[in-house]
Amino acid sequence: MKYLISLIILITSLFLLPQVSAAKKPLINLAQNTRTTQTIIGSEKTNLTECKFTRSDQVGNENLPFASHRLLSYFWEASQKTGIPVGVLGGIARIESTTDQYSISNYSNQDIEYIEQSDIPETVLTANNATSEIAKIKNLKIPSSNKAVCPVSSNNALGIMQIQPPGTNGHDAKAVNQGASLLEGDKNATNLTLKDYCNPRTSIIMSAGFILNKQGTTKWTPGWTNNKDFITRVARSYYGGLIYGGQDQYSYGDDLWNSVLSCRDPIFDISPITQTQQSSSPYCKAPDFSEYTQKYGFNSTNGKDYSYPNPTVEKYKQDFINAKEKAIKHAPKFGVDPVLAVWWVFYETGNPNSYNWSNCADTVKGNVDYNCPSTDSGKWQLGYGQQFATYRSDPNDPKKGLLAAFSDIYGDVNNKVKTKEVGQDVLNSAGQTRTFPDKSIQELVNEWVQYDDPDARYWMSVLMRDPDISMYLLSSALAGYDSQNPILKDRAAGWSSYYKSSWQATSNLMNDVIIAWNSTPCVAGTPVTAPSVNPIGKIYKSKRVCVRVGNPLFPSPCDTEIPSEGQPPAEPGKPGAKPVAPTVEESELREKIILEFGIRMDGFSAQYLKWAWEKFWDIKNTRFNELVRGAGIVATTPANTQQVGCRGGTSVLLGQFGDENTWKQVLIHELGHVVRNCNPQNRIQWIEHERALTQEGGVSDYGNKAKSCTGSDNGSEDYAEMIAYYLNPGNAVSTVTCFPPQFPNMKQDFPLHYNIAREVLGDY
Amino acid sequence: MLNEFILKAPKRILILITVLIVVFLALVFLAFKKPAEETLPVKSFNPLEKTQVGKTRESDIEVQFSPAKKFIATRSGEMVFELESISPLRPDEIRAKEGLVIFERIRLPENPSQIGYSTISSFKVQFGQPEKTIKGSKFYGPLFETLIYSSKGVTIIGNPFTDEIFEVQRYTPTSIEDYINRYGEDIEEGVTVKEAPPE
Repeated sequence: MKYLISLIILITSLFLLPQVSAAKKPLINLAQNTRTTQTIIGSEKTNLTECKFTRSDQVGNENLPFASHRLLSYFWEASQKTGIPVGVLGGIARIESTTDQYSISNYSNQDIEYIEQSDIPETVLTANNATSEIAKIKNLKIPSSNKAVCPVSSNNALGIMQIQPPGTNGHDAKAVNQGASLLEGDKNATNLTLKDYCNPRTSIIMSAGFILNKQGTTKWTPGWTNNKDFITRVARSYYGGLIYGGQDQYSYGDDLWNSVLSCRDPIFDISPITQTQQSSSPYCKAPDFSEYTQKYGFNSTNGKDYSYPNPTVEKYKQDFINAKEKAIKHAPKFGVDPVLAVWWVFYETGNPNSYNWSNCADTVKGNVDYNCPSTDSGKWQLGYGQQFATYRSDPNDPKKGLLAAFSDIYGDVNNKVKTKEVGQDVLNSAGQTRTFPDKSIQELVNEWVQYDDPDARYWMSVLMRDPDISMYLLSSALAGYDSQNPILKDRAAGWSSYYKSSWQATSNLMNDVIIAWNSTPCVAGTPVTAPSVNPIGKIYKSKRVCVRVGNPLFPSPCDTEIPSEGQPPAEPGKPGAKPVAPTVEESELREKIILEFGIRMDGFSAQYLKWAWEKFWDIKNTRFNELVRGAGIVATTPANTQQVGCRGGTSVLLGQFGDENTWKQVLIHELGHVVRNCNPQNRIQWIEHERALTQEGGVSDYGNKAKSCTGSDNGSEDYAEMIAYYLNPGNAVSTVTCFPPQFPNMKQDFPLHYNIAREVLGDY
Repeated sequence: MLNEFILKAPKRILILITVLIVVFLALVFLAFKKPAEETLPVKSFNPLEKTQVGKTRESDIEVQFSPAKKFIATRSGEMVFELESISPLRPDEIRAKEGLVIFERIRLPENPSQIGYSTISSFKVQFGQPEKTIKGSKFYGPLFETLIYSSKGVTIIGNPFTDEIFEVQRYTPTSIEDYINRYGEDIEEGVTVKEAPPE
């Protein structure tokens, strides 16, 4: 009988134990959920050169940026592969590779190239040979410096990221394996060479996998970036402790956290210049005119030619003082000379008062664009002379755009009361009797961007005539005009014959701006009042401003109406702009493309990198870059050109071939596949495009007969063709050999396609 | 102590206790027992599914759904009904044989807020790992994947980069090979689209 009872107990246990065990599972899920619901605050800075990385024991130099853009591009690449922020990776490198002899922060591009080209043996490191092999290279220095070619610790940790190879204390084969798996080829802890450990790029990429392994994961969760405890945990697991230094002890975790914070998106750090700062502004005295002739190419003044409002006459004095105040307040935020900003106001607007100027007449609510060929383009200036298109946000520069301007100047973009107050002030100051709606600036921008609501556009344009907002936006648009390549004079001459022919007159204007600047009080902080000279309280219709679209198939009305009366400078993303790629080394141009556009291009010659930079710059103001950011393009033979993946690895294989126009067309076509295949369907209007293809056919032969040409499907190819032709209008080329060159007029003949492209990418 | 109780207790009571314990254990077993694998297709996955494979009658299709097109598949001899879908290029499809629905294909919406939108990861939570995954779709493109769960009578085609499901197919459970032969006409494995530009 006792056997019977024992049997019963045994059977009972067998049935019940699994249930008890299963009942525990939700506890695990709960813990996981808790971990992944932390707040995510912002992303990292687009411009990684602004990040400063901390090592606290370097007194006086605790926080330093990396001098090498090449090195930054490797951190960025590792970040793309794993999701680990550059702040974490760079922060670890800064601590790990700083000694009393050198700091990784001070390595230049040339230093990094020297390391990469050095003869570090490609010997596989094993537990048996590691010590002897490392001894061969541990004292190598970059010529004329104390910088190590391959940083080696007393414990034989190797490379910038100080990874322990086999045979050294602390070697973690599993973590090294995970890091090695991110490298090209079948790399693992048993076949990594000395060179792999010492090469900056492979060291950084390996460390990313190493970090993830230590956290028991394969992908970084964004919320961790904002969690100091977690960052400290990363520090502890990487270093094996938290305290470094000798008698003076420093916290690895605190240093790493500071680096992460430094690399955080600056949109959270923008703060208005204080009154105190303004009153002691170094901009209260203008430089000598001779500096402007040298820097921007202004002619010497002849004192005769003049066709602009003269800032030295009493009539414009108050306008000048107001514009000066706003320029001193906002232009330095974008590295722009305030004097140049005020010169622009007088040169461009014909009425140097922000409240009441628009070159699209303001007669009927919601109908401001009746004489503007395109409302959301470079053809509409207002306020102090910025283009309406400056309202756009820029994913690469969070300081740009109307929302950033409002946030910087007036605070919360969702504040309806403040928005109305600012807008109503503009209307009142311009002598208009309308009532500004009870909407926040955020709502208005959403209504225009998402629903093309012309009323919202009009109220946005009103807000953009607020002097502070207007000067902020104008300054953002003038950023980079101090470039010497080309200088402003040559740049302006390229805009149109008007700018060329008026250069003497505008040089005289600049001279007078400087005279007025130094003879008026520097009253930064004084509230701006509407000028008493506002004659009839209406919006001036100033000289007509035109932009040639650079495409003979789509003549702009401006081209025939007043062809020489003036063009504003083309900004990036404006058709007709002819950017010139920076004249830098091939490797540096590759890094610039990574840093500025977030696209990695491997194996391309300088010519193709130059074309790529120019095209990406040309379309920078569209949302294209946002949709393909993180893509990797690898050079291949022309016949092997294709899209092979999305972000993080190789996205596109692209040949180096042919003429510039064809290559740019194919470049955008292939990235057009990335747009379609690597973004959510509703974001890229997949179904809408299928409707357009059904109703209009493909925009090119390739989109109609893809199967017969490359074996592809019409939906894929027509989408890529739509993107390519939208961003290369009038490009009479063909993407593939199967069909002759074509130049579809999308706007006219394929309006559904055109509208989809415009909706997805924004105006071009 | 226990032995003493057992020895002293009347035999009938012991039998009764034993029976009660066995009944109790049987109840526990039934309560926690996993349901047996179904041989019919698993229950409806997506709310947009119109029919129930193996149950909906062919005669009901025309009445209920007004198909835009109807024809007989040349290879299998199945009756094919094409229905309007959210995609103008990819109609939904129902196939019937011997009076019953044996296959249904639906295109899912692209907007996450729309009913029926679904993701690959959520599908895997419900159905587990696919029995076979094949990269390459004739209609959607070479980078997209077909995830086959043929023993459960369900296949999805989706975008592994965005996690979105493009379409769901339901059918009578079968082998992978049979699924590919009968319904896998969209599968195009290993195709690369080389876009040779003009030299």
